Amino acid sequence: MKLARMIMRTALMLVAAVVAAASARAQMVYGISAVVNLTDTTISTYSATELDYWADAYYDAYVEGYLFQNGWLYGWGSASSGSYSNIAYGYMNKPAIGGAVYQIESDHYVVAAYAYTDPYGTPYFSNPLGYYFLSTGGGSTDNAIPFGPADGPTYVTVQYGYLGTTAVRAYTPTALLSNGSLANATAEWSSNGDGTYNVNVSAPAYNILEEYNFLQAATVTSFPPCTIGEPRLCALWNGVRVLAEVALLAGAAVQGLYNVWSQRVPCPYGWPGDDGAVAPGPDWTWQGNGPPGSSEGNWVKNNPNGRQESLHPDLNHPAPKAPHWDYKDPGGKWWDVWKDGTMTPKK
Amino acid sequence: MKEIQLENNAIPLFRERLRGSLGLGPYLEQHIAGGSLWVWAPEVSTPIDLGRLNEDIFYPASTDLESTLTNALLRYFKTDPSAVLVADTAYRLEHARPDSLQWFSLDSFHDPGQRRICAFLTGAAADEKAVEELVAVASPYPTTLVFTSLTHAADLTPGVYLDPRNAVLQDLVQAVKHVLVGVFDERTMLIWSSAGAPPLACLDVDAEGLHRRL
Repeated sequence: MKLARMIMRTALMLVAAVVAAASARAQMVYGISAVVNLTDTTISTYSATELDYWADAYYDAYVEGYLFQNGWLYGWGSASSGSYSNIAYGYMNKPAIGGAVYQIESDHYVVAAYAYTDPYGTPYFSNPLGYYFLSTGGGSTDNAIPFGPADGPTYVTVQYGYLGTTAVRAYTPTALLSNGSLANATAEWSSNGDGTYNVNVSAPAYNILEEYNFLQAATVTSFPPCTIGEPRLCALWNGVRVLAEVALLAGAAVQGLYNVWSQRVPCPYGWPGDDGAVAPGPDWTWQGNGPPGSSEGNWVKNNPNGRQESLHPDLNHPAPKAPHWDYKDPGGKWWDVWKDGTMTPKK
Repeated sequence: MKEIQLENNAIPLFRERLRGSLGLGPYLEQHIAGGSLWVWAPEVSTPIDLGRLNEDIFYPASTDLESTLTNALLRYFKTDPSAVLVADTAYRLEHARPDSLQWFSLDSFHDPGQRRICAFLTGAAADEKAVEELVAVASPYPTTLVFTSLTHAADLTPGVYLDPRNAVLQDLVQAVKHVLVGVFDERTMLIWSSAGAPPLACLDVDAEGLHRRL
Protein backbone atom coordinates (compact mmCIF):
# COMPACT_ATOMS: atom_id res chain seq x y z
CA MET A 1 0.00 0.00 0.00
CA LYS A 2 2.82 2.32 0.82
CA LEU A 3 4.31 1.56 -2.55
CA ALA A 4 1.09 2.53 -4.25
CA ARG A 5 1.03 5.77 -2.33
CA MET A 6 4.61 6.49 -3.17
CA ILE A 7 3.82 6.01 -6.83
CA MET A 8 0.84 8.32 -6.52
CA ARG A 9 2.89 10.91 -4.70
CA THR A 10 5.74 10.69 -7.14
CA ALA A 11 3.36 10.96 -10.01
CA LEU A 12 1.87 14.04 -8.48
CA MET A 13 5.20 15.66 -8.18
CA LEU A 14 5.63 15.20 -11.89
CA VAL A 15 2.19 16.00 -13.04
CA ALA A 16 0.93 19.47 -13.68
CA ALA A 17 -2.58 20.62 -13.13
CA VAL A 18 -4.75 23.58 -13.07
CA VAL A 19 -4.48 26.76 -11.14
CA ALA A 20 -2.63 29.92 -11.64
CA ALA A 21 -1.11 31.72 -8.74
CA ALA A 22 0.10 35.16 -8.06
CA SER A 23 3.78 35.42 -7.47
CA ALA A 24 5.39 36.38 -4.21
CA ARG A 25 6.61 35.21 -0.80
CA ALA A 26 5.11 32.86 1.78
CA GLN A 27 4.88 32.65 5.53
CA MET A 28 3.08 29.68 6.99
CA VAL A 29 1.16 26.62 6.00
CA TYR A 30 -1.16 24.39 7.97
CA GLY A 31 -1.57 20.70 7.34
CA ILE A 32 -4.62 19.07 8.84
CA SER A 33 -5.90 15.52 9.14
CA ALA A 34 -8.89 14.92 11.30
CA VAL A 35 -11.57 12.39 12.06
CA VAL A 36 -14.47 14.67 12.74
CA ASN A 37 -17.05 11.97 13.40
CA LEU A 38 -16.82 8.24 13.93
CA THR A 39 -19.41 5.73 15.02
CA ASP A 40 -19.80 2.01 14.41
CA THR A 41 -21.63 2.84 11.21
CA THR A 42 -20.18 6.03 9.75
CA ILE A 43 -16.90 7.88 9.49
CA SER A 44 -16.23 11.46 8.43
CA THR A 45 -12.77 12.77 7.84
CA TYR A 46 -11.29 16.12 6.99
CA SER A 47 -8.09 16.91 5.15
CA ALA A 48 -6.78 20.36 4.43
CA THR A 49 -3.78 22.35 3.39
CA GLU A 50 -4.21 25.94 4.44
CA LEU A 51 -1.96 28.80 3.49
CA ASP A 52 -1.84 31.96 5.49
CA TYR A 53 -2.58 35.35 4.02
CA TRP A 54 0.89 35.96 2.70
CA ALA A 55 1.56 32.51 1.41
CA ASP A 56 -1.74 32.61 -0.42
CA ALA A 57 -0.67 35.75 -2.21
CA TYR A 58 2.02 33.82 -3.99
CA TYR A 59 1.12 30.16 -4.00
CA ASP A 60 -1.92 27.92 -4.05
CA ALA A 61 -2.69 24.96 -1.83
CA TYR A 62 -3.38 21.35 -2.68
CA VAL A 63 -4.25 18.35 -0.54
CA GLU A 64 -4.77 14.64 -1.01
CA GLY A 65 -6.55 12.54 1.57
CA TYR A 66 -6.24 8.78 1.91
CA LEU A 67 -8.59 6.86 4.17
CA PHE A 68 -7.58 3.40 5.33
CA GLN A 69 -9.84 0.79 6.92
CA ASN A 70 -7.95 -1.83 8.89
CA GLY A 71 -4.86 -0.95 6.91
CA TRP A 72 -6.42 -1.10 3.46
CA LEU A 73 -7.09 1.87 1.28
CA TYR A 74 -10.77 2.62 1.68
CA GLY A 75 -11.11 5.91 -0.17
CA TRP A 76 -9.20 8.89 -1.34
CA GLY A 77 -9.76 12.35 -2.70
CA SER A 78 -7.99 15.53 -3.57
CA ALA A 79 -8.71 19.23 -3.58
CA SER A 80 -7.10 22.40 -4.81
CA SER A 81 -7.55 25.84 -3.35
CA GLY A 82 -7.72 27.58 -6.69
CA SER A 83 -6.49 31.11 -7.04
CA TYR A 84 -9.26 32.70 -5.03
CA SER A 85 -9.00 30.72 -1.81
CA ASN A 86 -6.23 30.01 0.64
CA ILE A 87 -7.41 26.56 1.64
CA ALA A 88 -7.63 23.25 -0.15
CA TYR A 89 -9.86 20.91 1.81
CA GLY A 90 -12.14 17.97 1.55
CA TYR A 91 -14.32 15.72 3.62
CA MET A 92 -14.87 12.01 3.20
CA ASN A 93 -18.06 10.50 4.52
CA LYS A 94 -18.24 6.74 4.29
CA PRO A 95 -19.91 3.79 6.01
CA ALA A 96 -17.95 2.37 8.92
CA ILE A 97 -17.74 -1.10 10.39
CA GLY A 98 -17.93 -1.59 14.12
CA GLY A 99 -14.63 -2.86 15.42
CA ALA A 100 -12.61 -1.47 12.55
CA VAL A 101 -9.69 0.90 12.87
CA TYR A 102 -9.49 3.87 10.52
CA GLN A 103 -6.63 6.03 9.48
CA ILE A 104 -6.77 9.26 7.53
CA GLU A 105 -3.60 10.46 5.92
CA SER A 106 -3.25 13.74 4.08
CA ASP A 107 -0.47 14.80 1.79
CA HIS A 108 0.07 18.54 1.63
CA TYR A 109 1.41 20.56 -1.23
CA VAL A 110 1.97 24.15 -2.25
CA VAL A 111 1.46 24.95 -5.89
CA ALA A 112 3.77 27.23 -7.81
CA ALA A 113 2.64 28.93 -10.97
CA TYR A 114 4.27 28.56 -14.31
CA ALA A 115 6.59 31.44 -15.17
CA TYR A 116 8.03 30.78 -18.59
CA THR A 117 9.56 28.13 -20.83
CA ASP A 118 13.11 28.47 -22.05
CA PRO A 119 14.09 27.95 -25.69
CA TYR A 120 14.77 24.28 -24.99
CA GLY A 121 11.24 23.66 -23.77
CA THR A 122 12.06 23.48 -20.06
CA PRO A 123 9.39 25.07 -17.90
CA TYR A 124 10.31 27.46 -15.11
CA PHE A 125 8.12 28.28 -12.14
CA SER A 126 7.44 31.26 -9.96
CA ASN A 127 9.08 30.67 -6.59
CA PRO A 128 9.84 34.07 -5.11
CA LEU A 129 10.82 32.68 -1.72
CA GLY A 130 13.06 30.06 -3.18
CA TYR A 131 11.48 27.07 -1.46
CA TYR A 132 13.96 24.29 -1.74
CA PHE A 133 11.25 21.74 -2.34
CA LEU A 134 10.21 23.55 -5.50
CA SER A 135 12.28 23.55 -8.62
CA THR A 136 12.82 27.10 -9.74
CA GLY A 137 15.20 26.14 -12.48
CA GLY A 138 12.88 24.00 -14.49
CA GLY A 139 13.32 20.32 -15.09
CA SER A 140 9.87 19.22 -14.05
CA THR A 141 7.68 17.46 -16.50
CA ASP A 142 4.29 19.02 -16.69
CA ASN A 143 1.07 17.99 -18.28
CA ALA A 144 -1.09 21.00 -18.82
CA ILE A 145 -4.81 20.54 -18.48
CA PRO A 146 -7.67 22.84 -19.41
CA PHE A 147 -8.28 25.74 -17.13
CA GLY A 148 -10.62 28.67 -17.10
CA PRO A 149 -14.23 29.11 -18.08
CA ALA A 150 -16.00 30.55 -21.05
CA ASP A 151 -13.47 31.52 -23.69
CA GLY A 152 -12.30 28.03 -24.30
CA PRO A 153 -9.50 26.12 -22.64
CA THR A 154 -6.56 27.99 -21.26
CA TYR A 155 -3.61 25.83 -20.39
CA VAL A 156 -1.71 26.60 -17.23
CA THR A 157 1.18 24.56 -16.03
CA VAL A 158 2.01 24.45 -12.36
CA GLN A 159 4.39 22.66 -10.09
CA TYR A 160 3.52 20.86 -6.88
CA GLY A 161 5.85 21.13 -3.92
CA TYR A 162 5.37 18.34 -1.42
CA LEU A 163 5.31 19.75 2.11
CA GLY A 164 4.62 16.71 4.20
CA THR A 165 1.98 14.37 5.50
CA THR A 166 -0.33 14.38 8.48
CA ALA A 167 -2.21 11.38 9.78
CA VAL A 168 -4.45 10.27 12.58
CA ARG A 169 -5.83 6.87 13.49
CA ALA A 170 -9.24 6.45 15.06
CA TYR A 171 -11.00 3.53 16.66
CA THR A 172 -14.70 2.86 16.39
CA PRO A 173 -16.36 2.56 19.80
CA THR A 174 -16.45 -1.22 19.46
CA ALA A 175 -12.79 -1.38 18.53
CA LEU A 176 -11.86 0.92 21.35
CA LEU A 177 -13.55 -1.24 23.95
CA SER A 178 -12.54 -4.61 22.55
CA ASN A 179 -8.93 -3.89 21.75
CA GLY A 180 -6.77 -5.52 24.40
CA SER A 181 -4.17 -2.79 24.31
CA LEU A 182 -6.83 -0.28 25.17
CA ALA A 183 -8.44 -2.41 27.88
CA ASN A 184 -7.87 0.23 30.50
CA ALA A 185 -9.52 2.91 28.49
CA THR A 186 -12.61 4.49 29.88
CA ALA A 187 -14.73 5.58 27.03
CA GLU A 188 -18.11 7.17 27.06
CA TRP A 189 -19.80 7.69 23.77
CA SER A 190 -23.03 9.55 23.58
CA SER A 191 -25.16 10.86 20.79
CA ASN A 192 -26.22 14.47 20.72
CA GLY A 193 -29.22 13.44 18.68
CA ASP A 194 -28.23 15.58 15.76
CA GLY A 195 -25.83 13.24 14.09
CA THR A 196 -22.91 14.28 16.23
CA TYR A 197 -21.41 12.35 19.08
CA ASN A 198 -19.40 13.05 22.16
CA VAL A 199 -16.57 10.93 23.37
CA ASN A 200 -14.71 11.20 26.61
CA VAL A 201 -11.75 8.93 26.89
CA SER A 202 -8.92 8.47 29.31
CA ALA A 203 -6.90 6.51 26.78
CA PRO A 204 -6.38 7.39 23.17
CA ALA A 205 -9.32 6.81 20.89
CA TYR A 206 -7.19 8.65 18.41
CA ASN A 207 -3.57 7.96 17.74
CA ILE A 208 -1.30 10.52 16.34
CA LEU A 209 0.99 8.71 13.99
CA GLU A 210 4.47 9.80 14.68
CA GLU A 211 5.87 8.35 11.51
CA TYR A 212 3.63 10.48 9.34
CA ASN A 213 3.03 13.78 10.99
CA PHE A 214 5.50 16.21 9.68
CA LEU A 215 5.84 19.19 7.49
CA GLN A 216 9.36 19.42 6.28
CA ALA A 217 10.78 17.22 9.04
CA ALA A 218 8.70 18.61 11.90
CA THR A 219 7.09 15.99 14.11
CA VAL A 220 4.11 15.84 16.41
CA THR A 221 4.24 12.91 18.77
CA SER A 222 1.15 13.26 20.88
CA PHE A 223 -2.24 14.83 20.81
CA PRO A 224 -5.10 14.84 23.26
CA PRO A 225 -8.55 13.46 22.53
CA CYS A 226 -11.61 15.60 23.00
CA THR A 227 -15.24 16.05 22.22
CA ILE A 228 -16.05 15.49 18.61
CA GLY A 229 -18.77 17.06 16.56
CA GLU A 230 -17.24 20.41 15.80
CA PRO A 231 -15.02 20.19 12.77
CA ARG A 232 -12.86 23.20 13.48
CA LEU A 233 -12.24 22.22 17.07
CA CYS A 234 -11.71 18.63 16.15
CA ALA A 235 -9.30 19.57 13.46
CA LEU A 236 -7.14 20.46 16.40
CA TRP A 237 -8.18 17.82 18.87
CA ASN A 238 -9.34 14.69 17.13
CA GLY A 239 -6.81 15.03 14.45
CA VAL A 240 -3.55 16.66 13.96
CA ARG A 241 -2.76 20.07 12.70
CA VAL A 242 0.80 20.44 11.70
CA LEU A 243 1.60 24.04 11.36
CA ALA A 244 4.84 25.27 10.01
CA GLU A 245 6.66 28.22 8.66
CA VAL A 246 7.26 26.97 5.19
CA ALA A 247 10.88 27.76 5.11
CA LEU A 248 13.10 27.13 8.10
CA LEU A 249 11.08 27.15 11.28
CA ALA A 250 8.95 24.09 10.78
CA GLY A 251 10.52 22.04 13.52
CA ALA A 252 10.43 24.79 16.09
CA ALA A 253 6.83 25.69 15.39
CA VAL A 254 5.48 22.19 15.66
CA GLN A 255 7.62 21.36 18.63
CA GLY A 256 6.28 24.47 20.34
CA LEU A 257 2.76 23.31 19.68
CA TYR A 258 3.53 19.90 21.10
CA ASN A 259 5.16 21.38 24.16
CA VAL A 260 1.99 23.28 24.91
CA TRP A 261 -0.27 20.25 24.56
CA SER A 262 1.99 18.15 26.73
CA GLN A 263 1.46 20.56 29.62
CA ARG A 264 -2.28 20.05 29.62
CA VAL A 265 -3.87 19.83 33.10
CA PRO A 266 -7.45 19.81 34.36
CA CYS A 267 -8.92 23.28 34.79
CA PRO A 268 -10.06 23.76 38.41
CA TYR A 269 -13.39 25.02 37.08
CA GLY A 270 -13.75 22.62 34.17
CA TRP A 271 -15.22 24.13 31.05
CA PRO A 272 -16.74 27.45 32.18
CA GLY A 273 -19.54 27.24 29.64
CA ASP A 274 -20.58 28.01 26.11
CA ASP A 275 -22.05 31.39 26.93
CA GLY A 276 -19.52 34.03 27.90
CA ALA A 277 -22.27 36.28 29.27
CA VAL A 278 -23.09 33.75 31.97
CA ALA A 279 -20.94 33.72 35.11
CA PRO A 280 -18.78 30.62 35.46
CA GLY A 281 -20.12 30.21 39.00
CA PRO A 282 -21.86 32.03 41.85
CA ASP A 283 -18.59 33.50 43.15
CA TRP A 284 -17.71 35.21 39.91
CA THR A 285 -18.57 38.81 39.09
CA TRP A 286 -18.06 40.70 35.86
CA GLN A 287 -15.41 43.43 36.11
CA GLY A 288 -15.11 45.54 33.05
CA ASN A 289 -16.51 48.39 31.07
CA GLY A 290 -18.06 46.22 28.41
CA PRO A 291 -21.15 44.09 28.92
CA PRO A 292 -20.63 40.62 30.43
CA GLY A 293 -18.95 38.32 27.97
CA SER A 294 -17.58 41.15 25.84
CA SER A 295 -13.96 41.83 24.96
CA GLU A 296 -13.67 44.49 27.67
CA GLY A 297 -13.63 42.84 31.04
CA ASN A 298 -13.38 39.56 32.86
CA TRP A 299 -15.25 37.30 35.21
CA VAL A 300 -13.37 37.79 38.47
CA LYS A 301 -13.36 35.67 41.61
CA ASN A 302 -12.16 37.26 44.84
CA ASN A 303 -10.57 34.78 47.22
CA PRO A 304 -10.35 35.24 50.99
CA ASN A 305 -6.57 35.59 50.82
CA GLY A 306 -6.95 38.57 48.51
CA ARG A 307 -5.82 36.71 45.41
CA GLN A 308 -8.02 37.17 42.39
CA GLU A 309 -8.65 34.84 39.51
CA SER A 310 -10.13 35.87 36.20
CA LEU A 311 -11.84 34.10 33.33
CA HIS A 312 -12.39 35.73 29.98
CA PRO A 313 -14.45 34.06 27.23
CA ASP A 314 -12.92 33.81 23.79
CA LEU A 315 -15.54 31.64 22.18
CA ASN A 316 -15.42 32.97 18.64
CA HIS A 317 -11.75 32.76 18.18
CA PRO A 318 -10.58 32.53 14.58
CA ALA A 319 -8.67 29.48 13.45
CA PRO A 320 -6.17 28.09 14.00
CA LYS A 321 -6.96 28.48 17.68
CA ALA A 322 -10.11 26.82 18.91
CA PRO A 323 -12.74 28.53 21.10
CA HIS A 324 -11.45 28.80 24.64
CA TRP A 325 -11.54 30.77 27.89
CA ASP A 326 -8.54 32.73 29.11
CA TYR A 327 -7.80 31.96 32.72
CA LYS A 328 -5.49 33.98 34.93
CA ASP A 329 -4.83 31.95 38.04
CA PRO A 330 -4.29 33.37 41.57
CA GLY A 331 -0.55 33.50 40.93
CA GLY A 332 -1.01 35.53 37.76
CA LYS A 333 -0.21 32.67 35.41
CA TRP A 334 -2.13 32.53 32.15
CA TRP A 335 -3.92 29.50 30.72
CA ASP A 336 -6.15 28.57 27.79
CA VAL A 337 -9.14 26.53 28.96
CA TRP A 338 -10.45 24.06 26.40
CA LYS A 339 -13.84 22.59 25.93
CA ASP A 340 -12.90 19.24 27.43
CA GLY A 341 -12.21 20.94 30.77
CA THR A 342 -8.45 20.90 30.47
CA MET A 343 -6.14 23.86 30.15
CA THR A 344 -2.75 24.58 28.69
CA PRO A 345 -0.36 27.37 29.64
CA LYS A 346 -0.36 30.33 27.35
CA LYS A 347 2.82 30.82 25.43
CA MET B 1 10.13 40.16 21.20
CA LYS B 2 10.11 42.79 18.53
CA GLU B 3 8.82 46.33 18.68
CA ILE B 4 7.13 47.58 15.57
CA GLN B 5 6.20 51.20 15.17
CA LEU B 6 2.65 51.85 14.10
CA GLU B 7 1.43 54.83 12.19
CA ASN B 8 -0.30 57.43 14.27
CA ASN B 9 -3.66 56.49 12.84
CA ALA B 10 -3.53 53.69 15.37
CA ILE B 11 -3.80 56.15 18.25
CA PRO B 12 -7.62 56.25 18.22
CA LEU B 13 -7.58 52.49 18.57
CA PHE B 14 -5.18 52.77 21.45
CA ARG B 15 -7.30 55.39 23.17
CA GLU B 16 -10.37 53.24 22.76
CA ARG B 17 -8.59 50.34 24.36
CA LEU B 18 -7.37 52.55 27.17
CA ARG B 19 -10.90 53.81 27.79
CA GLY B 20 -11.92 50.26 28.60
CA SER B 21 -9.49 49.80 31.45
CA LEU B 22 -10.61 49.93 35.04
CA GLY B 23 -8.38 52.33 36.96
CA LEU B 24 -5.95 55.03 35.88
CA GLY B 25 -6.20 54.21 32.17
CA PRO B 26 -9.33 56.25 31.39
CA TYR B 27 -7.82 59.29 33.12
CA LEU B 28 -5.03 59.23 30.54
CA GLU B 29 -7.16 59.14 27.44
CA GLN B 30 -7.12 62.88 26.83
CA HIS B 31 -3.40 62.90 27.49
CA ILE B 32 -2.66 60.47 24.68
CA ALA B 33 -1.84 62.67 21.72
CA GLY B 34 1.24 62.87 19.61
CA GLY B 35 4.07 60.68 20.68
CA SER B 36 4.55 57.32 19.04
CA LEU B 37 2.79 54.01 19.11
CA TRP B 38 4.26 50.58 18.99
CA VAL B 39 3.20 47.01 19.07
CA TRP B 40 5.31 44.67 21.09
CA ALA B 41 4.98 41.40 19.28
CA PRO B 42 6.63 38.01 19.15
CA GLU B 43 9.51 37.94 16.75
CA VAL B 44 7.88 35.53 14.36
CA SER B 45 5.08 37.61 13.01
CA THR B 46 3.57 38.77 9.82
CA PRO B 47 3.27 42.51 9.23
CA ILE B 48 0.71 44.08 11.50
CA ASP B 49 -2.52 44.96 9.78
CA LEU B 50 -4.63 47.37 11.78
CA GLY B 51 -7.74 46.07 10.12
CA ARG B 52 -6.93 42.64 11.29
CA LEU B 53 -5.84 42.89 14.88
CA ASN B 54 -6.29 39.24 15.59
CA GLU B 55 -3.94 37.27 17.69
CA ASP B 56 -3.99 34.32 15.35
CA ILE B 57 -1.54 36.02 13.05
CA PHE B 58 1.09 35.42 15.70
CA TYR B 59 0.47 31.80 16.42
CA PRO B 60 2.32 29.59 16.97
CA ALA B 61 5.12 31.95 17.82
CA SER B 62 6.39 30.88 21.18
CA THR B 63 7.28 33.69 23.52
CA ASP B 64 8.06 34.01 27.16
CA LEU B 65 6.12 37.18 27.66
CA GLU B 66 6.30 37.14 31.44
CA SER B 67 10.06 37.22 31.75
CA THR B 68 10.43 39.68 28.88
CA LEU B 69 7.91 42.00 30.44
CA THR B 70 9.43 41.69 33.90
CA ASN B 71 12.86 42.58 32.58
CA ALA B 72 11.51 45.54 30.64
CA LEU B 73 9.73 46.90 33.71
CA LEU B 74 12.80 46.49 35.88
CA ARG B 75 14.86 48.40 33.34
CA TYR B 76 12.46 51.30 33.57
CA PHE B 77 13.24 51.75 37.25
CA LYS B 78 16.95 51.76 36.54
CA THR B 79 16.60 54.66 34.14
CA ASP B 80 14.72 56.95 36.49
CA PRO B 81 14.99 56.99 40.29
CA SER B 82 11.65 58.78 40.51
CA ALA B 83 9.91 56.16 38.37
CA VAL B 84 6.44 54.98 39.31
CA LEU B 85 4.71 52.05 37.66
CA VAL B 86 0.94 51.77 37.99
CA ALA B 87 -1.24 48.78 37.12
CA ASP B 88 -5.02 48.87 36.85
CA THR B 89 -6.60 46.04 38.82
CA ALA B 90 -10.02 44.43 39.16
CA TYR B 91 -10.09 45.23 42.89
CA ARG B 92 -12.65 47.57 44.30
CA LEU B 93 -12.07 49.23 47.64
CA GLU B 94 -14.10 46.67 49.54
CA HIS B 95 -12.19 43.66 48.18
CA ALA B 96 -9.53 41.84 50.20
CA ARG B 97 -6.08 42.34 48.71
CA PRO B 98 -2.69 40.70 49.20
CA ASP B 99 -0.89 42.26 52.17
CA SER B 100 2.20 42.92 50.12
CA LEU B 101 0.36 45.02 47.55
CA GLN B 102 1.03 48.77 47.38
CA TRP B 103 -2.07 50.52 46.15
CA PHE B 104 -4.00 53.73 45.91
CA SER B 105 -7.66 54.23 45.16
CA LEU B 106 -9.39 56.61 42.80
CA ASP B 107 -12.92 57.23 41.59
CA SER B 108 -14.15 54.82 38.98
CA PHE B 109 -14.27 56.63 35.69
CA HIS B 110 -17.26 54.62 34.56
CA ASP B 111 -19.19 53.86 37.75
CA PRO B 112 -19.83 56.99 39.82
CA GLY B 113 -19.57 56.35 43.51
CA GLN B 114 -17.32 53.33 43.08
CA ARG B 115 -13.64 53.37 43.94
CA ARG B 116 -11.12 51.32 42.00
CA ILE B 117 -7.76 50.09 43.20
CA CYS B 118 -4.54 50.74 41.31
CA ALA B 119 -1.42 48.82 42.29
CA PHE B 120 1.83 50.72 42.10
CA LEU B 121 5.52 50.29 42.50
CA THR B 122 8.23 52.86 43.09
CA GLY B 123 11.93 52.56 42.50
CA ALA B 124 12.69 51.93 46.12
CA ALA B 125 10.55 48.82 46.20
CA ALA B 126 11.19 47.57 42.70
CA ASP B 127 12.73 44.16 42.40
CA GLU B 128 11.90 41.14 40.28
CA LYS B 129 9.46 39.71 42.79
CA ALA B 130 7.63 43.00 43.23
CA VAL B 131 7.35 43.52 39.48
CA GLU B 132 5.97 40.01 39.00
CA GLU B 133 3.44 40.66 41.75
CA LEU B 134 2.34 43.87 40.06
CA VAL B 135 1.85 42.12 36.72
CA ALA B 136 0.01 39.28 38.44
CA VAL B 137 -2.60 41.57 39.98
CA ALA B 138 -3.06 43.65 36.83
CA SER B 139 -6.53 43.14 35.48
CA PRO B 140 -6.60 41.84 31.90
CA TYR B 141 -8.88 42.83 29.03
CA PRO B 142 -7.22 45.14 28.85
CA THR B 143 -4.05 44.86 30.89
CA THR B 144 -2.99 48.47 31.53
CA LEU B 145 0.46 49.40 32.80
CA VAL B 146 1.36 53.07 33.18
CA PHE B 147 4.99 54.25 33.28
CA THR B 148 5.15 57.57 35.03
CA SER B 149 7.16 59.35 37.71
CA LEU B 150 6.90 61.61 40.74
CA THR B 151 9.51 64.06 41.90
CA HIS B 152 8.87 62.86 45.41
CA ALA B 153 7.75 59.28 45.25
CA ALA B 154 7.00 59.42 48.94
CA ASP B 155 4.05 61.65 48.07
CA LEU B 156 2.27 58.54 46.92
CA THR B 157 1.34 56.99 50.23
CA PRO B 158 0.11 53.38 50.11
CA GLY B 159 -3.63 53.25 50.67
CA VAL B 160 -4.23 56.90 49.81
CA TYR B 161 -7.37 58.03 48.02
CA LEU B 162 -6.66 60.32 45.09
CA ASP B 163 -9.66 62.38 44.12
CA PRO B 164 -9.73 63.79 40.58
CA ARG B 165 -8.32 67.16 41.72
CA ASN B 166 -5.58 65.65 43.83
CA ALA B 167 -2.18 67.12 42.93
CA VAL B 168 -0.42 63.77 43.12
CA LEU B 169 -2.90 62.25 40.67
CA GLN B 170 -2.43 65.16 38.31
CA ASP B 171 1.33 64.81 38.57
CA LEU B 172 1.11 61.12 37.79
CA VAL B 173 -0.96 61.85 34.70
CA GLN B 174 1.20 64.72 33.49
CA ALA B 175 4.42 62.75 33.85
CA VAL B 176 3.28 59.69 31.91
CA LYS B 177 6.04 58.45 29.62
CA HIS B 178 4.74 55.13 28.35
CA VAL B 179 1.49 53.20 28.53
CA LEU B 180 1.12 49.52 27.75
CA VAL B 181 -2.26 47.98 27.00
CA GLY B 182 -2.83 44.35 26.23
CA VAL B 183 -4.09 43.12 22.88
CA PHE B 184 -4.16 39.78 21.07
CA ASP B 185 -5.33 37.69 24.00
CA GLU B 186 -3.24 39.93 26.24
CA ARG B 187 -0.12 38.24 24.94
CA THR B 188 1.02 41.26 22.99
CA MET B 189 1.15 44.88 24.04
CA LEU B 190 0.32 48.12 22.33
CA ILE B 191 2.70 50.71 23.71
CA TRP B 192 2.33 54.45 23.55
CA SER B 193 5.35 56.63 24.26
CA SER B 194 4.98 60.35 24.89
CA ALA B 195 6.65 62.82 22.56
CA GLY B 196 9.15 63.79 25.22
CA ALA B 197 10.20 60.26 26.00
CA PRO B 198 12.91 58.51 24.04
CA PRO B 199 10.95 55.92 22.07
CA LEU B 200 11.00 52.88 24.23
CA ALA B 201 14.68 53.26 24.92
CA CYS B 202 14.10 52.27 28.48
CA LEU B 203 12.47 49.08 27.27
CA ASP B 204 15.53 47.98 25.37
CA VAL B 205 14.22 48.32 21.85
CA ASP B 206 16.35 46.82 19.16
CA ALA B 207 17.23 48.97 16.19
CA GLU B 208 15.56 46.65 13.73
CA GLY B 209 12.26 47.05 15.49
CA LEU B 210 12.58 50.80 15.65
CA HIS B 211 12.87 51.16 11.92
CA ARG B 212 10.19 48.79 10.88
CA ARG B 213 7.10 50.65 9.74
CA LEU B 214 3.88 49.41 8.33
